[in-house]
Amino acid sequence: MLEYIGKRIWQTLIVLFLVSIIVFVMVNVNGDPVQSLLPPDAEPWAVEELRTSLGLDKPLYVQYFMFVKNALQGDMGISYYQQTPALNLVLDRLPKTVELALAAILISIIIAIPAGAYAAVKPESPFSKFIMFGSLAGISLPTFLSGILLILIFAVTFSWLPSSGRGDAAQFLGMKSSLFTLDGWKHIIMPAATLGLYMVAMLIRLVRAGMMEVLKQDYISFAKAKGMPGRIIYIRHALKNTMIPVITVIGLQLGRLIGFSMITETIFAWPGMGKLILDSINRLDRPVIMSYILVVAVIFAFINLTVDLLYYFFDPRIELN
Amino acid sequence: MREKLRKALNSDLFYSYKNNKLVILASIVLLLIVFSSVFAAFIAPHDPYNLASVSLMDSMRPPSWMEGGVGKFVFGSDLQGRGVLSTILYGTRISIMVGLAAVALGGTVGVTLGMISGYFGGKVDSVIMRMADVQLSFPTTMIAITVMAFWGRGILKLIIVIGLATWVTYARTARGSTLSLKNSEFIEAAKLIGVSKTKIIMRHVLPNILTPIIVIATVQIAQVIMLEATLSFLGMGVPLTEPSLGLMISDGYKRLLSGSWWLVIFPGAVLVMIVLSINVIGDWLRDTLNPKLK
Amino acid sequence: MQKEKILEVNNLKTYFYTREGVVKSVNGVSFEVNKGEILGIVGESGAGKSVTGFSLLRLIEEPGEIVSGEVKFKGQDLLKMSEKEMNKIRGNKISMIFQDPMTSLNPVLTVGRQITEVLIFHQNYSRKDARRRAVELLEMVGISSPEKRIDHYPSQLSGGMRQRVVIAIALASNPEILIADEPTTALDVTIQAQIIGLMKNLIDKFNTSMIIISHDLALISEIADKIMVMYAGDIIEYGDKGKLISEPAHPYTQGLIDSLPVLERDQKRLNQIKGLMPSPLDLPEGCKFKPRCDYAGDDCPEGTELFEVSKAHFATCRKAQFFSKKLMRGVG
Repeated sequence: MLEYIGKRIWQTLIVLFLVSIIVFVMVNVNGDPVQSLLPPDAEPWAVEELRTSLGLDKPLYVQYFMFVKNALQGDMGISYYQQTPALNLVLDRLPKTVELALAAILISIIIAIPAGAYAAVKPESPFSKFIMFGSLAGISLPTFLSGILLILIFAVTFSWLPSSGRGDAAQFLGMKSSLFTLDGWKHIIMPAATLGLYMVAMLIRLVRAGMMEVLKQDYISFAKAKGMPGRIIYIRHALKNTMIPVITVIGLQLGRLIGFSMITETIFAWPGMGKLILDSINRLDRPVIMSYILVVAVIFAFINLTVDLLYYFFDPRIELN
Repeated sequence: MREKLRKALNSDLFYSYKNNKLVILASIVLLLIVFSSVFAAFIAPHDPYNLASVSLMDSMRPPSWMEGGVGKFVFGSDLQGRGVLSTILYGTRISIMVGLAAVALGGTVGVTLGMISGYFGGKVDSVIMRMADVQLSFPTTMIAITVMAFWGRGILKLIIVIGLATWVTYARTARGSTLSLKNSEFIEAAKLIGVSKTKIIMRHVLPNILTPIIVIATVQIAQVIMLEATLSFLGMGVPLTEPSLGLMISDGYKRLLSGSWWLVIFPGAVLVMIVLSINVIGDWLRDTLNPKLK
Repeated sequence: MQKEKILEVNNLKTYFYTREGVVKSVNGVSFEVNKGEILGIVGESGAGKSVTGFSLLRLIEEPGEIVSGEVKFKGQDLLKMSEKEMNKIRGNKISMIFQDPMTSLNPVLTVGRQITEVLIFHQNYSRKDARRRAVELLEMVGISSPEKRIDHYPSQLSGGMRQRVVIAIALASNPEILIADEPTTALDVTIQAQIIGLMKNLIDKFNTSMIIISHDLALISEIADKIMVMYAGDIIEYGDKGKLISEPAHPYTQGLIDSLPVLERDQKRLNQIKGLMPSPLDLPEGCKFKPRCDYAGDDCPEGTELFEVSKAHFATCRKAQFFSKKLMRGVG
């Protein structure tokens, strides 16, 4: 068990190393931040001075080692634009993005698992057909469009919900989150629904397909032969087996949601990391971009590891080696 | 030829097509959209990117059936006085082109690497799959946004970035199918006669793994068209000088609170119809061609 | 001596409606089982013997359907019961053991959970009592250190042990009838004998009736009191074991017996029945065995009804008995 975790952490470190190189190279071959920071008519000495103060006059590999050395100490440089440590900027925004992603996952799970299971148990019923067409429509709706449609309906036409921003936050069990206030939910429900829509659609299909596969298994027939009623067969015997791939996907989707949150946060002006990174990309604010990508890479690596371990707890058939 | 046609009409594929109303509807919608965008130059009421045909006098007209609408702009017009319908027709052409080209690029790269990885195994395999793992640790959308943000707008750039951002899906499938084929008797036989490795891969492996690849490629066209629209919406895709569904929606989004809904609804509806039709067809293909997944 | 009749099946028909056509898997079978009796159903795969077993518990799934007939358990017709009433029969009054122990246990639930749920649902046991009883059951089916095994997952057990667990589950509620569908086919030969021995023991101990389904006539003739031979959805011969084995009436039964290896005989090779069972979609009129039958002729019986060959022995054809002299040729 420990050996397995060790191996997985080692693999993760290799991935992070590769990511750091790719990110560094990509950020450095594109655009010149000095030019975007200074007015076009700046004196050459001013350009030179700024270049030196940012460390941009040194060879690339030296810049890379400086970058890694500093990164390991939690120093990802100062934001060119906001003059504060870049990593702090990103980490300040992280909880707000996680809050949004968790709300999206919560909504997805509550809707998708019962809907998918129902569609598998009664595939011919009209409601199942409605669920399945709805999920197909759901994966066919781009995130940005569904967000805009929600704003158009609930904010512009009916004025029921605010179209942008994050609501009041409250302290609960030592955590501060807008999920603990009504105003918070009013603000988060649309962005969370937007972010979760694709996941709902995809999870429904996944749960249904998995459940239908499981329902064909011998052990389900055997459970029926034991006289177990529908609820025990579908929930205890079938759904638990179906959940194994579903948990994997939910975990992996958490990463995807953080990626998609760029779009959702921009549309709903949600003050998370996604909006920050898009703004920073437009300003060529390299330290912030690198901090963001590395933070996301670490999060993804952590998620993948957790998913693997959860997998183990949920599926007694898997032997770790 | 006639014999071939009759055989095709009797096949299981056609049988299930005939009996699936949703798929028939989807293919009709898709054909209509593709047809009208390919012939946009003849169908569109005017060319929205020909300055001679655009007038600021026609700015922000609502759809023709509403108060203030004019017959010339069935779906209304935007701030520059371009007709929404015309821009949609021209924009769809670009979306479909980007979709097909990016899938062709991603598919070629992915399938090639996947087959090599599966067939040769060993070090080559681990290098390719490690690359895939690194890429998979980030969502495709995020990779595309980041790269496009640095590289700047452009249709060719879009195709390359989206194509390369999606190779992993094909590669994994191609690798899996190749692995299961590798030890089959006909491949062994070809090896024994001394057929070269390239030839075995191209003539024997490729045709036998095409079915799942076609299914994935179909669904990927829809994904890529969505991705293109997303990038264009964020201002990182199609240049402002070209028509694009994503750009149109972005324009409409900026004026959303003023109530000019037609700038969002019509291009959005066309985008969803394209993607939904392809997804319906892709789903059906997967169910029919791959009975294991049923 | 009048035995207590516990199960009576009349004219049971189960059809499968496939895209290619209707498959009449069970085409009007009738039989009965008495208290404590063991009925063996034998036949090739596709003969309809497993479908018969599943039909008794109404476990037929789409596109299959029980078309008509009666399955009277202690006088009550199971086919007329509601699904809820039926669940009180399944696993409680009538239990079933499946062919493959590797797949009939749920991989993500512990052995204990899969036993106790039967006790809790059917016998209203508390969780604690159910667990205690489950340990007893595991011990009864010969699983060592049952207190430990009860928390194991099926993947941690061998095939033989899993089938023992399946038997423990099936017998948990002390059922009146046990249906065993090829209970040992998927197991190693050495384990087969142990499992059959265990089942026979427990059946005798609790005076449970059993319907055992197998393609293996040797196995059936070893354990059963009565034998029923099925071919392409029909019963072609049915009767007390002794009579059926010693004086088979139907040429097919004769063929099955001849194809068994016999130690006393010095055989170079085993006899076999020529040909294959016909496609279920394209069955011949009348006797379905006719195309493969050595004795087929114009004098074959027209219908497929069973008639009494001798007391407690029925068949659809008795040509094997007329020609049995001719058959001796092959042996002598």
